[in-house]
Amino acid sequence: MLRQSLMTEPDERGYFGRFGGRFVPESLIPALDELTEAFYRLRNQQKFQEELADYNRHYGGRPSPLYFAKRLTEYAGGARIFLKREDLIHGGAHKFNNAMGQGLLTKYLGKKRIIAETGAGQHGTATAMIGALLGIETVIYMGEKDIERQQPNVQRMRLMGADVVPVKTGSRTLKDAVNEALRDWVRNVETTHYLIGSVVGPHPFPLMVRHFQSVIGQEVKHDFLEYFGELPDLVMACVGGGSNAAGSFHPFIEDTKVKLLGVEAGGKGDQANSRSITCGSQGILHGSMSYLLQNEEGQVKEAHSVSAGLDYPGVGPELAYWNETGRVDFTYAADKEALDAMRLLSRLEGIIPALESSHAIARAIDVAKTMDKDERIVVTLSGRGDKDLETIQGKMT
Amino acid sequence: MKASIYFPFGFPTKEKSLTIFEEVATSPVQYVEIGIPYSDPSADGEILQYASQVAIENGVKVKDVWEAVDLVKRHGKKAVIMTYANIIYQYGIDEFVEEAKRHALDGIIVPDITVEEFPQKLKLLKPIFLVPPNVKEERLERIVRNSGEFVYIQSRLGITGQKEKFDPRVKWILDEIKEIDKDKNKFIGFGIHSANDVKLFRKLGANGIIVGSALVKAIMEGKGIEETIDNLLDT
Ligand SMILES: Cc1ncc(COP(=O)(O)O)c(C=O)c1O
Repeated sequence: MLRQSLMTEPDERGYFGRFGGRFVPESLIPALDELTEAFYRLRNQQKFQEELADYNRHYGGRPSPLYFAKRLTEYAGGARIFLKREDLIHGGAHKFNNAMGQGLLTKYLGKKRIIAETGAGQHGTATAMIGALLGIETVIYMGEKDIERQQPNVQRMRLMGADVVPVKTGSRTLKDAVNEALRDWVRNVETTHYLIGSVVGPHPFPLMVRHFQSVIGQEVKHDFLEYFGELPDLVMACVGGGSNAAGSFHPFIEDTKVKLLGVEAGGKGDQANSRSITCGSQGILHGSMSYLLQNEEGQVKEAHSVSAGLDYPGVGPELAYWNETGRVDFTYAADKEALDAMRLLSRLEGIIPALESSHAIARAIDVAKTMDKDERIVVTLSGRGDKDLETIQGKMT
Repeated sequence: MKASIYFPFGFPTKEKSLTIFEEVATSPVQYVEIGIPYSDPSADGEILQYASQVAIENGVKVKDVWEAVDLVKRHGKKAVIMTYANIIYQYGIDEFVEEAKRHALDGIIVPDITVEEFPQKLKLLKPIFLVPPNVKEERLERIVRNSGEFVYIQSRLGITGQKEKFDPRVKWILDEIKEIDKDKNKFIGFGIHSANDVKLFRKLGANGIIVGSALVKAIMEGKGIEETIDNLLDT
């Protein structure tokens, strides 16, 4: 299946194959250089690692459970389905892992201010938590449309002391929240860290965010070896920018017997979706070369997804690379399928998944059906669905 | 003082922008910067974001931009294109370079491609690089040596169109560039909106200014182009 030997780290210039790099104004170069140097140094430093592990455990609630979803498995009638419960992590999503890691790094860098973009409000919430925890001023950029559909998270961020700035430009969703955060960063780069929320952006962000998210896949691997003495047959995750997927997949990249499957947001169909990998083309957005949804003139299109966290027309460069090398397969689930899966998991297991994660659940059920009963699938349940209750009002039957 | 005037192609419509380019080209400026709008202009402030959005909604086509280049050149002025990386990659670097050569383009500004990332082929178009106030000394020399018609010095950190204080490091940068290459044109841009700004930078050793948002804003307010440029240059 593999078409070439795989890179597990980007090259010096931040490229995974032909994807990645740094497409940014010159003014950001000093900050990116400083960040790259600090990240390479700290990720191997014992003090940093211990401090992060301590926060992860006692503040974040890690390790997260690996749960065998018995009734969901029976419903699907095929492979056994396990859920990696990132919904139980502090803040209610995997976004904590990255915000904690980068937040601590910000402290080591001595920066006094953090900015972040957010779509679903989960990354904004995680960043607001860490800002409060570490006593760092926090500003969150959020599209006006997302502010409307993710009110509980807006209130949580404000309660924790973050300044939530509505973004009124362009799509009024995640894409333009990133643009506004970038504009803030180029103005205040000397005092501010941009705590980007997914495996996107210029080098070293895709690498750094994946590194902090890899705790997901490492724990899965550890638990599988401990309980079953072998690795899962398939690991699945939903893909927005790609951070929960990258964190789930990366520890298995060299275990080529483990199949990896990413699920993009199929939205309403061919004309309105967030399928950057399965429907997009190569291009540059938000500082790196990857796949994106664009027209033939190179103008970036608006994405669509019922889930704010997947509503983004780009994807991380490492995922683009995994797609091109064939190491990871990508598919999609439509809005309606995600809504159905959300209800199904709620009723069968008493777990309300985030709409984002519900995309992965929806496809997992179909895939499980095609596999043997003694095979095992892990689905990363990236977040909990409380934030989506308003969105689904009237959409569920 | 020399001047380079930026205006977005396709704003408020393609035809009107061509008229504006013509008027700018007949005013006492040396360079006309033709902006090709991009949907995600993360280096631009509100005014240029708005103009880009309008142009894109009007269905601006990259291949039509050469008309604007020809028009500027017909009036004996130098034509520079400014756009973001994705627009050029999507057009195709080879095709873009070929067309640009055919139309005798004098330079290109791509704010999201740094010296190191700049594709070799695209360097044939004599790129003009930006120098922000936080530039490190060791990078400045490389930027200056690789810059074509002029070096584009940012008056402050941040995005286009802001009216905050100028960064004091600009003086150091101007002096340093003179050391590196005494003949290099040193143009200052980002938020230049009055004759006072222009005077200040002339005194500091710049020999050119770049104006973008101020002209777009003036046009949106119904002011005349010639009058706006004359006021800025104080002629
Ligand atoms: C619960 C949840 N899952 C998934 C995502 C998508 O992001 P990523 O693809 O980076 O994991 C988000 C983003 O906000 C989210 O909140």
